[in-house]
Amino acid sequence: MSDTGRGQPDAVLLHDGSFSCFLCAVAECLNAAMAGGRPPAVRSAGGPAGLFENPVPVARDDARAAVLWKRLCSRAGDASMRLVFEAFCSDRPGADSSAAVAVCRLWREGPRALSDLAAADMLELEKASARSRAEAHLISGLVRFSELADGSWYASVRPSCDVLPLIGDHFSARFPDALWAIHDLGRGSALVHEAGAPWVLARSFSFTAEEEAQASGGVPPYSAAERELRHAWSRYFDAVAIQERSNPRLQAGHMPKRYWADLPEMNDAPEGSQ
Amino acid sequence: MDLAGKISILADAAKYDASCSTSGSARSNKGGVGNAAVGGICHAWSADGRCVALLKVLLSNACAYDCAYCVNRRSNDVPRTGFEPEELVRLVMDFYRRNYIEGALLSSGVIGCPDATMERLIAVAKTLRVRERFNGYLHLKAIPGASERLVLEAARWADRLSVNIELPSAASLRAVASDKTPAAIFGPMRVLARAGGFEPRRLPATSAQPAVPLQDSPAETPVSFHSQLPAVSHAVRDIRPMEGGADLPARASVMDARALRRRDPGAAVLPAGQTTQMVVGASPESDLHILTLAENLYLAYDVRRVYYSAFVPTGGDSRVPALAGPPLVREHRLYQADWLFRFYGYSAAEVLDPLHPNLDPSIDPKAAWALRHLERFPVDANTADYRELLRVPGIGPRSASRIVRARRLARLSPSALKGLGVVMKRARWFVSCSGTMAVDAGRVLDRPDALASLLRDGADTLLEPLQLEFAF
Ligand code: SF4
Repeated sequence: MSDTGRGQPDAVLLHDGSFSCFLCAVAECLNAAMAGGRPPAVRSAGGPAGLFENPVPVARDDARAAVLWKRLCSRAGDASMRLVFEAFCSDRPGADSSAAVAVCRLWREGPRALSDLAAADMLELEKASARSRAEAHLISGLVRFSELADGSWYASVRPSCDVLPLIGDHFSARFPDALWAIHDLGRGSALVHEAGAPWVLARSFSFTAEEEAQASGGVPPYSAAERELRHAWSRYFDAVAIQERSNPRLQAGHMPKRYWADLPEMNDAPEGSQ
Repeated sequence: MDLAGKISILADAAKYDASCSTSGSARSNKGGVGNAAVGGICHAWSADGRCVALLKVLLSNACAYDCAYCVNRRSNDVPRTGFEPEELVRLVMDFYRRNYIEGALLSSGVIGCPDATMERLIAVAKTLRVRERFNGYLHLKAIPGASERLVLEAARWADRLSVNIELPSAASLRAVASDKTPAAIFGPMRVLARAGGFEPRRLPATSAQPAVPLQDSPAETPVSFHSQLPAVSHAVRDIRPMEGGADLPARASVMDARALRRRDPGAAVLPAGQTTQMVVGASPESDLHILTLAENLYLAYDVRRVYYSAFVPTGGDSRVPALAGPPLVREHRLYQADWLFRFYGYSAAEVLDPLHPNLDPSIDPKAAWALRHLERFPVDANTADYRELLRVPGIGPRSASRIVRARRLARLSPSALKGLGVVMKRARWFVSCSGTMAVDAGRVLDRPDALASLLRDGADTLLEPLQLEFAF
């Protein structure tokens, strides 16, 4: 950057946390690189600030992001760009910065840059994307829908990565004829799907069973069968465990405790819970 | 009895079937509910740490047979119940819509005869597929002795079928489960192999096949199942030379044989093939015997998975040993050896031999192999091929392929290996980077016992206490 030449602190581009805004920041990096300079670093505006940096917020421009995304996909390949998106979704500190560097290299070198795992940023891209994929896979099993009285379905999750955009296609293919929502309680976002339509990601979604219950005078908005089925599922879950092999450490290793709050089978005591 | 009570009994009766995988099928959703995910999805893990992916229940736990290892055996005094077919269909759909499960594994005690039982299972599967337009994962049990026609009918509706061998020799089968015969088990397995587009194969002999009477079955040499396996008499075609020297086995490893197979997860019939299970510890066979049989099943019938189920004594039958608890360490080591077959290119003959017929409980079988072959180490991460890398303790398929990718662009150093996911704590004794090692391995490489103590993983001490709790 010309700034550095004048002894100014390094410019750091700040995105607002959305992938669109991140891409707009990446566009600046690519411009800088093509002008022959060193691309500036990119980080989230919400992240910790560096000591000697000159933060430059980047404006979010969805149209500009969409154009760049298309060009990146045709130049680096859909599979490479999917890795970039997955890494971004990991919400791992620094993953966005590494992803920005990775995009610049993908632009210059094509997909072969992905193999340079001795380079810290490329290795981080690989690890962060693997982490998102792994959690998306885990969450696609751990989603628990409840049937509401109006025949729609609601599930709450608390993933550490921003996995909703990664699991939308999976659930749409599986339950295409239903109205359902998967609510990320930590981020306040939700996947919402209506019968026959593509899923949409609502960035701020406020529905919880409890709120709904209060609004309707204390009665949970569940369908008549919901309670009995949850109970049946919990009894099933208890019955399949072989007592002589009991191994809570192994259980928690596969299914960490932070997910338990949203799993009926982990919150329905075996005896007299009705 | 209410629904939850029935579920408890019929799930309890089905839980000793270890099969939980839901992979291998790409069934798509054609205007109904559900689909299958090729990689499989786990939905929960029960208190014993096993994955819960399927509604695994029996249609009925009343059984006409009397297999000594089984909780549902005729002579065992337990409450009996069964689902109405309609009740079970509803339950699968209700659980599936809530995303509790990936599908169902439906099995049953033998009600009347094998064919009548098979027909009841088929009726449930067919209703799910046709009337409910359910495209989730269905795994059905083929009942030993069921006719070919019904096994094929079941294959039409299921993603996967399985027949459990349970006892790994004909002699043990006679002693422990006398209602079943090898023919009743291997007959349906052959039908299933063919239904999945695989012609069963005759296998060349291996050095691991017990040529001498097994030391642990003194009275009677178990009539090995190996002679039962070949269904047709044409030789294996897919033997190919393997890189890496003369001491490798003369027939294809399971990994190699599978790499050559073209499978179609989108196939209409039995996309996820067949699996089977062996009970471990209810009969006297050695690990070598069990693993050789498993390898043969992979190669001869294209079985997708062999499950090993530590025998859980269910009380009071003198035909099976009175164990203090399930042999979990043994089961764990068998699974590790099985992974070596499928993902690391090892053969049963490499993992064990007639002089060492049982796996060492204190060390994993890959490390044990490395200790017996120290002359092959250190392996150079910058030049070794993928398979040689896989044989280094601390390097798995993921880190091996990262090494192969990364070294195309840069020469690797020991510190780079760590970043690529190599467990250096184990690998440092066995791997070098263009001649440089992370430790002075020369000091230990000629002292296998010192190295062995460095490689112990503690699984035996972790799992053993679980058994002792139930020793009284
Ligand atoms: S046939 Fe044997 S293994 Fe199967 S349920 Fe009956 S007793 Fe158990």
